[in-house]
Amino acid sequence: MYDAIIFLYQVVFSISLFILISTGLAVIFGMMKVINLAQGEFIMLGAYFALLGEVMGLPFILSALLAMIGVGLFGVLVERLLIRFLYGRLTDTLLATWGLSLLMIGAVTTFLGPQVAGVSVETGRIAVGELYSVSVYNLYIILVAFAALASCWALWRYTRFGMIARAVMANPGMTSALGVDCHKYYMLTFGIGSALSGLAGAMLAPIVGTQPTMGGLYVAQAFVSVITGGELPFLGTLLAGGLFGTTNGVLSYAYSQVIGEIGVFLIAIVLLRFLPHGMTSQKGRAQ
Amino acid sequence: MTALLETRELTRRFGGVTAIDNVNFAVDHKELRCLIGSNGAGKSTFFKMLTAQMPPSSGRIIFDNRDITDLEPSEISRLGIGIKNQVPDVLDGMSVEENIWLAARSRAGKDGALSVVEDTLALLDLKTRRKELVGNLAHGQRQWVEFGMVIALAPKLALLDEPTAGMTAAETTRTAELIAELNKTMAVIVVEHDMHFIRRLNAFVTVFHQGCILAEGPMHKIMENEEVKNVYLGRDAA
Amino acid sequence: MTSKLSTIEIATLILLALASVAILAVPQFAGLSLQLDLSIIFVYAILALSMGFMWGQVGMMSFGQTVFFGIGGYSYAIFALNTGDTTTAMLLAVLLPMIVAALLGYFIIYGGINDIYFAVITMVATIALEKAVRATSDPRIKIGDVKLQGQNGISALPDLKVPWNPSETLFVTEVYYLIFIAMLLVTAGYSLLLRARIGRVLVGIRENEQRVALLGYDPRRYKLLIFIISGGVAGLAGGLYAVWGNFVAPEMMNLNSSASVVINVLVGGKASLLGPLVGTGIVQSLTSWLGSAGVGQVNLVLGLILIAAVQIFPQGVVPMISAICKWCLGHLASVAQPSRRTSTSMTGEKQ
Repeated sequence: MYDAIIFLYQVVFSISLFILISTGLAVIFGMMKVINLAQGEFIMLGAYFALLGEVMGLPFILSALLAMIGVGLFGVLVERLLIRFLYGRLTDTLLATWGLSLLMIGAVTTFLGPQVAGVSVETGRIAVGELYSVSVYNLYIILVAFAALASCWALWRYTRFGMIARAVMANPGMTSALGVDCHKYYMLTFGIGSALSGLAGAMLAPIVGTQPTMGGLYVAQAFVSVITGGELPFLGTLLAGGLFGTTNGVLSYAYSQVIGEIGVFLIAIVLLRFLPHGMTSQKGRAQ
Repeated sequence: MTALLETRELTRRFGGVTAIDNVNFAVDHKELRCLIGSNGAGKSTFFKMLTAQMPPSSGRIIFDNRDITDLEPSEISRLGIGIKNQVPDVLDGMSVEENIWLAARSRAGKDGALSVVEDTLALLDLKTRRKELVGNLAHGQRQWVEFGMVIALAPKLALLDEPTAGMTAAETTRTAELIAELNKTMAVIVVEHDMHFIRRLNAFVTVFHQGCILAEGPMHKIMENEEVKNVYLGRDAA
Repeated sequence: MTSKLSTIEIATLILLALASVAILAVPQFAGLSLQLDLSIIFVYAILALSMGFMWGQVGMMSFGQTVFFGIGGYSYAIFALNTGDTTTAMLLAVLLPMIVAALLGYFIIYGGINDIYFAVITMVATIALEKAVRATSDPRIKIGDVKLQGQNGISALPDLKVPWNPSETLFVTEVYYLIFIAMLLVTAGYSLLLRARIGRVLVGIRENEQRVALLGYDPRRYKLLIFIISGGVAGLAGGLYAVWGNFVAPEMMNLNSSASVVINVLVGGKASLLGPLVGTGIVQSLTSWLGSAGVGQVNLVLGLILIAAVQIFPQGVVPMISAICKWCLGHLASVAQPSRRTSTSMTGEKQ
């Protein structure tokens, strides 16, 4: 019986990881249609902020908050200095953010060094049956991941900000004709997406450590999740996270971590072959 | 003789809007047909479904005794349907010659294609512009190029969606002549708004309205049809 | 459809011929070190061309050419070490990537994945493959007798033997000539492809895929075909890389390598066949000069180049040079004949 609980926990944890790293990109790519290849580096930056917090002696919660605010502000800066000149130019955005990604990796490597540094958190473990135990911190990750996704969904769905933001993304010309400052909304949306990735990085830091190149795999998984998720960013992320998290969880449990990652990728390709616009797509099928 | 092209209960919905509503349409071999209707009546949507640019919600399309409803656009083209789309649908970064050559070469061998290109360029009086990039041409000339591509395909059925849009009176007259010429070897369905042009073609007319066929018949009968007049022709009938 | 070569094209060919003579003469004057440096530039140039052709001529952005580069290199390594037959190993370096390209390409292209998504999926593919290969450090993981050795890669690869005289192997200078000639042949091959019907259809697909489909050409077929060909070319580059350095490693397939390919093409310009070659020359020279300073700097600079390329010179270097040359030629022509105020084109129209 405890085997089953542990297995279930691992799958849920795997799903949470996918959701955690993808939510930021779901906001930026899903809502704004901006291809941000530096999203992984935003996560990396969040991890380094958590490191900074630890160095400064902050309790972890404040470090995580620091990461959110720090990366959020960084995101706003990036939007103002780079992204806003490239709206509508998808390829150019992709290339420029790729350049940004390289720049960030290069800068961190140069100034902070390429080594891995750890962040420690003192939470404990909970026993499950006699043989197993589960890290309490991982449970926090599960909580934060789902909470973040749910908050985003609620923000965009139920608040006035969210409604206007959606209008801006859907039809900026018309919305600005109604008196809305679209630039402000672009900036804020991008900032929120960045902050979420910063949070993801901070939460991940105690598990994987900090390293300049840690963003690489995350950006791949995040993109696969968001693209497979389809047109509804948050529901899509939930579904994709569920699918890939389960796949990864099962395959990692049965074989190895690497098989798990490859399995995710293969399932994504096959899924996209049959649902080219993702799982929550609403086009291409006549009703 | 069975029809060349037939649609059965062809329907297309976009969410709550029914753009094409159970249309039963037929056109014969080497027939010339005009499709008229106000904007939004569904004519372009109809053409798009015939060439698989858009899938129908339900219904079948039969071309030359074959059900083509689920085929790819390239397959339908090879079966013998050519289309000139409403918005000029050409290869802007390539020359006039090359655009037509690509069309010709998909049907003919190397040498055959070259002679088809020469003939088509001559027919459309585009020989002097043959090396120019299509993107640099005026709107009317780009229409000609697309027209030429359809001719070069030598289809059994040519679908022309507003071929004279943006053309001068002289060009429009020439287009009517060309369509008559084409009609000697292939069926042609023309969507048009220009009443004088339609009269000159003197063909059987199908009137679309809100996704349905409102009326069908020779031009003069259509012009006298009260319903059609109310819905579409209005004061232009004079 | 053949067209006669224009003046610019003839001038370019003459320049290329001269450059080729110079490159072939290098071993007479320079040491092995320069030959090695140039050889690897040619290898990357071939890889860049495989990406650049698809991007510039067909409009397909594949950020995963490094997948085939890696498979090509590893195929050579594994087969050559197992059997000693370097000729077949080289053939496999081209064929195996093509098979993988066929499978991967089928799913991606027939799934209708286009544009940006195509770029992202191919990028994800190369990241995934690199991860997979890096995880093979367990000494029990081997193909035949060859251990994959994870992130250490496979080294001590046999030198390429002359196919008709296997007791002779190719040393640095011969490898230099081989790679250079391979680069020329690949470029010529692409050039011929571009003039053939396939090439025109591919360019048509770039211009207006739907229209090309409506003319009777199934775009998916053509895109898959060029994806497979490009996979083979990238695989060839991988095999040549293995011959050049006598080792292969997962780094061949990582995100950085993938980025380098794109940057090489961008800097040179994707519209022409020469662009990727020239771009590779510029960027590789720059990074190897910087490489001595440290990996961090390399990323920094590459990143800046990418951002700058997007904002400032999106067309790349070759079109700029080409425009300058055309202006010079035009200027020279009008200086030579000052009485002709307008020039006439072949069709007799004033310009």
